Amino acid sequence: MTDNHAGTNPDHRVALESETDLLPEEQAVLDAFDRMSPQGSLQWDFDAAFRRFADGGTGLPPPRQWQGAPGDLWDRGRGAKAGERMMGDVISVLANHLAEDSRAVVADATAATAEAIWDAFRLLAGRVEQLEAQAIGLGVEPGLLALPDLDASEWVRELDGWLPASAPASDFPVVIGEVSHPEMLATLVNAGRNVTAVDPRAERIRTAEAQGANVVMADIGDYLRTLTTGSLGAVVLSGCTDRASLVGKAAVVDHALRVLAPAGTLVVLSADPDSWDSALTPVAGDLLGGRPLHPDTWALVLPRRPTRSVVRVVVHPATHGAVHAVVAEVGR
Amino acid sequence: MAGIHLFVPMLHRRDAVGEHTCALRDRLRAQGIECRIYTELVDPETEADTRPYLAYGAEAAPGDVLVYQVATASAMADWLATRPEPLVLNYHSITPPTFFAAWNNGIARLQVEAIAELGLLASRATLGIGVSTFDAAELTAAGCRNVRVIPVASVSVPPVEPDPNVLAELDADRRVRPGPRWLSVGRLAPNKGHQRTLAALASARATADQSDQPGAHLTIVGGPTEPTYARALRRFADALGVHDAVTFTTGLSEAALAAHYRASDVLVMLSEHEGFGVPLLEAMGQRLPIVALAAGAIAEVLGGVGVLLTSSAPSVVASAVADLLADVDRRDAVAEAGAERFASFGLESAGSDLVEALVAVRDGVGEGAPQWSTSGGPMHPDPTPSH
Repeated sequence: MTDNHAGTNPDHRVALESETDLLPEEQAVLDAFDRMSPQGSLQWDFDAAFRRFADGGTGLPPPRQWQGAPGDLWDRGRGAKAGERMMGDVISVLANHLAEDSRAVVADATAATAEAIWDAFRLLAGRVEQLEAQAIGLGVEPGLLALPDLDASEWVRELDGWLPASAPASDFPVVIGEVSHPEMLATLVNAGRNVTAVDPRAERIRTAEAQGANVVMADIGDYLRTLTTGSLGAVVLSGCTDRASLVGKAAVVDHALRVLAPAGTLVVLSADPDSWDSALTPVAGDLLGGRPLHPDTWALVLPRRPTRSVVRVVVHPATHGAVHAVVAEVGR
Repeated sequence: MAGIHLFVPMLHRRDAVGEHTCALRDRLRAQGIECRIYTELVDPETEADTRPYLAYGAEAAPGDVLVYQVATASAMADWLATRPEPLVLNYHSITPPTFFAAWNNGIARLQVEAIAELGLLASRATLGIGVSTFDAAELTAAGCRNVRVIPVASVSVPPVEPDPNVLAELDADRRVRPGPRWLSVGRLAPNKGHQRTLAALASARATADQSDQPGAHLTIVGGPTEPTYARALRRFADALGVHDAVTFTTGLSEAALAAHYRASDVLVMLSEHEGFGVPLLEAMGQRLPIVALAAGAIAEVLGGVGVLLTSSAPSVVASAVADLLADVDRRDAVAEAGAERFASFGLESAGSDLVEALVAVRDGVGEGAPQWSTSGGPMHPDPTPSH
């Protein structure tokens, strides 16, 4: 056994390895994994950006690395909005570095500075979008941001008819995000469809499982991102775009269009914006980043997405419910 | 009629805390003790088994004992702190928030809250029950004065028989794709260290390549508790070039899981925080040798069985696994020692010990007298090496 083997040591508080146990290449590999975390990537990429900033020929000592835990970047500042808070943080970090020798920096590293600042803000913008997309990042309990129930019962019987016909039906995988209406899942499963329900909420996943659907516990946008281009027969976005920002909506829809097979169908079930506004609490109305689009807006936007050619869009306005349906077909 | 009632934030099937809670309820009822499960949140699958915790006030009876299953944050904790009934904390370990901070800030904050809630309840509890001395130490540190160690009551004794169909599939796969089979069982959560197992696998395969030996294959059994971490693991497997040698699977039946234990060559467990480690016992029950990192309660549960590491550096893990698998006699000895450890762990009596401890609280026996300390106690699993 090597010295790293505790063997039969009965003391359960054996000290774990220090990072010095790792070979340099192993350290690099594990660092690469850490950078895959949502906050890790921000921290590490910021460090990389500032290294370029410092190595731009200033002759100054390298800037201090970020010493805090990754989570600290989230918690610093007291701005009311996540975006403002983060901007404030970054500006203060930039100011600290510039203050070390601003004249030398400006004289010797203008180009590098511009590049680094651009990188920093590009990364920052991405992070702010994530913050805005995750209300919990505001420190507000999710219960305070309760969304109106999506009553899509009007479209339960219609949905199967909108999806591409095939024999057998199971040849065209269908992904539904999120699980807002269990009957809808049951109808598709009973029609022989190969249905995968995607939802980040455990209780909804269990509901979907009970309907006989395959289940994936994840955010729909994240899940679609992992799928191969052209691998699905249909994607049903059931209310999950309503609360997203415009940027977030576009990202989900673009991924949905990308993963559709030729002649595949995208169905967007979306709350009526006026009903949505009146059903939200004032707090939720203030803090949620987005609101549903009118069906006509979807009809305008979908054919203009750069991801995929949308050849047909049919709008089904709500008649007795408060949920509109928009059905888009991609080209062959 | 006085009862012993169980409180859990949410009751899930196929979940360690959920299964433990249901098993405990059934044992209490089997002894004629009134027992209801109260929850904060409703899982539709278990709705018929539970009551909302706020309904308890109207249903309380003199002499009741309340047992709280502690694992995560819940609004129930503040409420329980105000109740006059004797309170027992059945502690299932709170994953330190630092593990989640980089992956899911929301979960990390919930874990911070959970630790604060444990502190609030610990000094108020009549009895704290940890499933390991590691957990018991955390209860004591939180302020619990009377702590006992009773292992989990949900491990099947005797071990579950493997599903023959799954076993046949795994054997057939081994014929098509030769090479050692590594198994890792545990939720896809940042404290489980699956990335280290993947890196170790890559290291082992690189070594095998150099000697023209078939490379190892790894199956990771566990649900994506933290989806961002789970996705990163898949990307990491791609980046390491081992994606063809790694299988992620979840939702297995007990018999299918048993087949995986039986068909594998080694269980690799590099978890960095483990309050108990049910897969260790399951593996021992199925005679599967173990290579594990000495973190949390792992050394305690292993009790000297298997290969215990103080480093999870990929080359160290790969070398430990290779050494173990290369020595057939040693591998067999480890498997045999594991089976003995499983048989002597006290799993069969864990359920009745737990009921007995709760009844003692109800009857006011030994209340206030510490029954466990860091030097060990009657329920302290024997840490003496068994081989």
